[in-house]
Amino acid sequence: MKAAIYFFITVLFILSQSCNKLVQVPNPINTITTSQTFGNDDNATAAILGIYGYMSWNYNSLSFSNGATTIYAGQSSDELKSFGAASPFQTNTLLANNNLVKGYFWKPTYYAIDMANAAIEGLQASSSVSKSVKDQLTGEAKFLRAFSYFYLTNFFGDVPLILTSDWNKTALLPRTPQKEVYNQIVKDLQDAQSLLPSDYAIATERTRANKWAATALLARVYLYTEDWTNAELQATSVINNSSAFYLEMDLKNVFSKTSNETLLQLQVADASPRATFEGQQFIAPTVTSSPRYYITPQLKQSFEDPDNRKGAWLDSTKFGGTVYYYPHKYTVRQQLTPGIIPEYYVLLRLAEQYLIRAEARAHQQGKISDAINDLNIIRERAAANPLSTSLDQSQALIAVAQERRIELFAEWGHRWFDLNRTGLADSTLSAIKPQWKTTAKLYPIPESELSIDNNLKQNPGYF
Amino acid sequence: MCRHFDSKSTVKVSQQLLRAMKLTSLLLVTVYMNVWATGFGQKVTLSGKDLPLEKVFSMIKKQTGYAFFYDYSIFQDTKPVTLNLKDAEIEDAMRVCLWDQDLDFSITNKTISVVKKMVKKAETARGGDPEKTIKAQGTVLAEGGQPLSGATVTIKQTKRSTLTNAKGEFELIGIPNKAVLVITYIGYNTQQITFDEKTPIQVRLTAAVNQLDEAVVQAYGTTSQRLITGNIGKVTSSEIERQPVMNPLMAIQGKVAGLDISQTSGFASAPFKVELRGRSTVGDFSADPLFVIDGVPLSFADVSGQSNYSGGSSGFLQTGFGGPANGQSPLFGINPADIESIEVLKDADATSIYGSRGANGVILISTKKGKAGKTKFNLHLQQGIEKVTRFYKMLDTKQYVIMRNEAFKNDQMTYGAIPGVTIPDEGNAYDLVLWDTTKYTDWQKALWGGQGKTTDIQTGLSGGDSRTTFRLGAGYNRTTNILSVSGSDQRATVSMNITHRSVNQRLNIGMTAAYSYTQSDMIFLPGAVNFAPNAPAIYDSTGKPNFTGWGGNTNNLDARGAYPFSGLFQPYVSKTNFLNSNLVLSYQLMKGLSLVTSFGYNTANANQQQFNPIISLDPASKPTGTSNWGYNSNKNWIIEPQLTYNSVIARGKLSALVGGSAQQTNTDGLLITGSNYTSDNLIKSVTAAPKVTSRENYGEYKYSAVFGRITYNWDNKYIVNLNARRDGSSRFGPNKQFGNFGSVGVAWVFSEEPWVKDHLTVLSFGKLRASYGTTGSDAIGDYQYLSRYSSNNGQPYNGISVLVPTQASNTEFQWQVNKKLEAAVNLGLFKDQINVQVAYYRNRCGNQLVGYPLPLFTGFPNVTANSPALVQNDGWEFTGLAKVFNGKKFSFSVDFNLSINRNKLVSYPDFNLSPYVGTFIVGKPLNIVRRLHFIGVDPQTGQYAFYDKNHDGIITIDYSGKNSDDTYVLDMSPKFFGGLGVNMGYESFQLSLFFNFKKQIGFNAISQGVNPPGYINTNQRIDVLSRWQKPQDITNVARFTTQPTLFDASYFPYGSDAGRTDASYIRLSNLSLSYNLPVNYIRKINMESCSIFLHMNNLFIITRYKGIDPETQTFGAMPPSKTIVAGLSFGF
Repeated sequence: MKAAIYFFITVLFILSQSCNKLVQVPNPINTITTSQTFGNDDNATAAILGIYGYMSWNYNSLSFSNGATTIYAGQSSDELKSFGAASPFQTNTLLANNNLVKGYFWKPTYYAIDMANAAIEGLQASSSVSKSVKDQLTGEAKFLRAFSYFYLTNFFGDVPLILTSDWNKTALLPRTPQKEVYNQIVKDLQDAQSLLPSDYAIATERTRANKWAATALLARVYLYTEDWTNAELQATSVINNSSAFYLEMDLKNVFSKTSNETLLQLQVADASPRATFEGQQFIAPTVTSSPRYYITPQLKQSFEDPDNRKGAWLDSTKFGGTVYYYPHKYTVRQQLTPGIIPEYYVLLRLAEQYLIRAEARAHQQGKISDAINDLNIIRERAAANPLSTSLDQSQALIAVAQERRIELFAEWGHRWFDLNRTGLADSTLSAIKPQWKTTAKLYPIPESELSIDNNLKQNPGYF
Repeated sequence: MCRHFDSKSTVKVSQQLLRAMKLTSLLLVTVYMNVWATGFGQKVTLSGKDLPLEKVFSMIKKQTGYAFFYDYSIFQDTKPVTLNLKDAEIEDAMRVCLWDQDLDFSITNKTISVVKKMVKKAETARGGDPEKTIKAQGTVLAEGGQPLSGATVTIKQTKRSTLTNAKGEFELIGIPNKAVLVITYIGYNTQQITFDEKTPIQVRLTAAVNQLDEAVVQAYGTTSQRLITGNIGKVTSSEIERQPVMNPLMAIQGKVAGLDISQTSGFASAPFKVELRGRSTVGDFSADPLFVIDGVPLSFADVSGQSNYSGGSSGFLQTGFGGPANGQSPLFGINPADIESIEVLKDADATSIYGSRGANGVILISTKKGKAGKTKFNLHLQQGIEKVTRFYKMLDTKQYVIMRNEAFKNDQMTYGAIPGVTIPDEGNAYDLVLWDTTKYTDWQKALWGGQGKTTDIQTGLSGGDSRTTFRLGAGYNRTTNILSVSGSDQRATVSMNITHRSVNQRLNIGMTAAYSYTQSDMIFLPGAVNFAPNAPAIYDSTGKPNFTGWGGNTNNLDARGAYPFSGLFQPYVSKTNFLNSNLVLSYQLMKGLSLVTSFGYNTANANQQQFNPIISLDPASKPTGTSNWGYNSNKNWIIEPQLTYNSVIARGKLSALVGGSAQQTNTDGLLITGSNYTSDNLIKSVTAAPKVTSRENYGEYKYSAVFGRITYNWDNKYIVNLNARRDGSSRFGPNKQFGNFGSVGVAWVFSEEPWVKDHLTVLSFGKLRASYGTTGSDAIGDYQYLSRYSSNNGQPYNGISVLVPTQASNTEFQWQVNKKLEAAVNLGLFKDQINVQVAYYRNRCGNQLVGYPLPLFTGFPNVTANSPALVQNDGWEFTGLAKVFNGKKFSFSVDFNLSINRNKLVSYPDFNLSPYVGTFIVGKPLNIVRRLHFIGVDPQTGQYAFYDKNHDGIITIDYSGKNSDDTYVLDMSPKFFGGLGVNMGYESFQLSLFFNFKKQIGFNAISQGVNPPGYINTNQRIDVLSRWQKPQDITNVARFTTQPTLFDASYFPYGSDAGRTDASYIRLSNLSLSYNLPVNYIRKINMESCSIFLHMNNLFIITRYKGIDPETQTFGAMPPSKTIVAGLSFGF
């Protein structure tokens, strides 16, 4: 009897002693910990490339950074129409539960921001990543964060400003005024300018942000915040680096991956046989196929004559007796040989810098003729007639808007943002869209976010 | 009263006083024994030959510390004593000493009084000598001859008991002649025999078949409904066998009170949502109970993160690619024909010994075991058909065209004539312009109109002798589904069970192993009902996908893109090997004390293949082929050493169990995708793929525990049961890994009380029981506390493998605690012809482990964390069984269960700042939805109208729920559900019917069309014809439109209470008829038994619900079918 009791106790003792060991598991084989990630230069670099890769790929789905901005903001403005039933983007009747707004514009943008935040924190905490790599990577993370916030705030207005990956601190944040978001963007870009190298030595292609990408985006941000002097200053600094960047005289080369006009491209992840999403979605497979999207008659008519951009950057399909024109800046619909992609997503290019400078100058008395000269550089390449340098300010601003509309059509939602920031959206869009409402300028905050964060408030006009 | 303790002085004690003392002592013994549990210190070990009695007394005194009280004169006529006692109870020792002496004794509070015997004349006169006590020896055996160890043998008159040893032997000394011995053993009928000096005796117990006494499997042992202190529901093999289903879960649907089971899709292998006693957390994790098969927990890590509350667990498929059925039920690999019983453990008393994993209840599956006796061979064949029960009534082509044209007309009136928008052309109206508007296809019949076939063959061989038993089983089942295209499920199983005992009966070995192979061929099914009735055919003239027919000669990409049948050409197959094995070694160290060790191992390997050949894709898009290869591996071992101790203490039986558990689970899901195939000939080889990508999910889970249980059963009248467990799980961060759980259960069988026995003869059984305790849950993913990066899903960038963060990390989460309270009354009436149980429970779950929703702007949609929500489920469960008539020729019985659960979010600190503020309401059930109130169609605009509750002139939805119009709350949990079974037998015929019923609210099938009536290429239910057409029309269906706004259908289903409707039903879920051929006839052909049967499932349903089936509320999903099988069963 006593023996049995001792046995009981011994068994219990052994079990309770070994309990701790029995519940220890090694770290999972298919992942590494955050401290390992920022434990050496290579892993840390892989974490930054992960942000680019995500922005380019988004698990084989559209996202703000790989074509969705072009396709959907294009429909929201007066550039594009979808064939067949009109989409709510096109009719400006988005609902707060729209899955595309959430899946293409809200979620991937914030996910990229979170990855940048985590990287900045990880790099900061790391003592084993070398100084030069740490600067480089921190600069890239800040650039990508600024880039993402730029699109967020332009689509949604005031947005929560998230600068840490610690969900405990951010889960209940309200929206931050747009002005503060812009301040942060400027700060990140200025940091990026000082941290990043001025060449493309780290990658064989122009697929990672450097100082010039940060400068170009900063010029655009100053333009959007109507800081004309700084916009001009930054744009000039890019334009003056003429050894690295110059306009491709052949319009067909502007969007190729070897284009010298490009400041930053996102490599297309070769997950599927498509090339860019824009190429896949815009280009009709045969000359008699129905188009998926086509440009509006208004855009078609706004091309001047002569203008080579009409021929180079548009293509058409004749379907059911009607000719439909569609954007053809990206010329490849799918990979011809798997893995060989001739085009990447062009995030920033030199022509926009001329247009930024033109607009910034047109707002400054005494620089209007310089502004026209900038426009004429762009027009000259397209073989359009040069504008007279004696336009007055309002004529110059109209000319800038027109040039931006043509040069930057079907590209990164430029037209949609331009209409909104210059106050022309209501007058322009109400004329052609029966369901236009002034509140449609901002997309709705996804309904599911509002239900999770009670401090978040919806944009007017949505419920 | 004066006392002399072991004094040599002679004391005269009057006889009367002595008698009084005897009585008092008896009473005291009765009381004290109970309280003191006279265990270990008072045992006597004595041996010797011809010892003087006086000396023996002093030796006993020495050993036990008991005092003696006697008059010296008693030793005058005593005989010397010869004895050999080892660890004997003091009472027994005294009996042996006074054997054949003219003395009597009594024990009072550590004092033994010895007096001279008084002769009772009346009894002597009857002849014989009833006062003469003797020794009884015997053996207790089961029907098959195996000894029953631990059976209780009680002398009815004195209530003294003992337990049988490993060989089933017992010995009782000092019992009166003609004593009645009561022999009880759990799971067997109690037997009484009158002992008449013929010794040794042999008792054979028969297995109990009545509901109260039949064996009920519990955690680490067995019990019976009579003695249990907790709540365990049981479904037996006979009920399971009647159902022609592949998944055993389907066979217990509606059979167990409190258990709500629903299948998530029409595919046989699909996961089930299993919920016991209501939703207990605000989180979205699967609420599956713990499944334990023959003692081996079926655990697998949810590494793919696919499991969720409404869809259940994706089971063995952990690649993140769930296939058409969105996972595979882990029980799909278990052959229902191999199952002996399924026990559902519900309350704290029953589940607390599973500690951390008992929060959602436990389902124990026990497979069939061999029985000693003649070797038997069983053969069971059945074959049958499956068909859809009914179809939706949809618009025909003529009505459809009217709808579409009217929609355009309405839009022109609203927005004007806008080319491409409100004027039909080939872009916005290919269904009218491009397609033949006279063609008609009933797409439901085209896709679901097939007839499934089911074939089931089961064989079993079993037998054995008193030391060794075995059962071997093999089965094959093939069921093709109702799809007119293709699809089938197959399962082949082999199972075996061997038990063996050593010659000395001390060592027991039990080995069980079951292997199954399942194969599910499926396709991704298009939601068949919605296509335009005039849409072109599925196949072109060569049998290929009819893209050209859909897109027409003009190459309309939209119309081509609308072609929904690509999935029919994209085969999916999942093949699973599943092995579950268990070895139990048990060694009886000494009488009552056994060491039991259970080793369990199961492994599941599931291979998935899915092909998207070029032929299935639109040639206009110059497609390339893709193949998907999923490799899922799940390995799981467990070792559980236990010590069990059984003993009789006073009039009670004590059972104690102490054990430990160590478990490890490794789950791996690897998905390899081959893409860019340019030829379909190569698609079945992943190495031939021009491009290969892969993704891996991995989890390792370790778990260990110590646990204990003590049960004390006083005279089958008062029962106390205590459970405790300390658990550790690798799923928690450092210093959070361990948790303690425990429970207490008590029962009072008041029908054993004399006042009930004497006055309430109609009441054959009555028990009150109650339990309270805690259980926990670690049902979360592995490694959730780690902050980590992976390259798993990333594409390389710049040719370099990338790293991305995989989860929001939280090191702080810890065990969830569920507190369960239950009280119940069990009654047996008219000699247990009617058995009723009424149970009330209240479960509270706090510190809940949830996937805490985060706004997407934090970077992740959720993080594993503890939520401070306190959720309560309380409810009533009624179960009853009435053998209304039980004659020789005719029998009739009815069983019934009903469950009523009330769910409530009791409290939530700082609820307004929680992510659930838009979802839940404190004080209301969790499964609520907040809706606008539908008030009909605006007679002016023809659009839907909703009640403006806050009278602000507009319809607003505000997620704080404060000041908006969407405050109409609907509770989507079932109000009550249950089942009713009727069993009838007439001579050799058996008929049984089983009805399921449920009272609930569900999705309104009318309003679920994704697109509103009038939308392109979208057919609608026929009910939409009552639509608004012109101002002043009063109707409930809005105008047709191609340009839906908020007040067209989009908010009708999702935003208002009209989207939900009553979905209550009564279903005849099973009808089974069988006929046993006459025995004397079949004996001639050397057959033991032969029966013919007809089983039918889902024969009809009574409901007001307007969809196909109130359980499958998704409009367009594959509906549940009805199954009719016929078969033969032979026994040799």
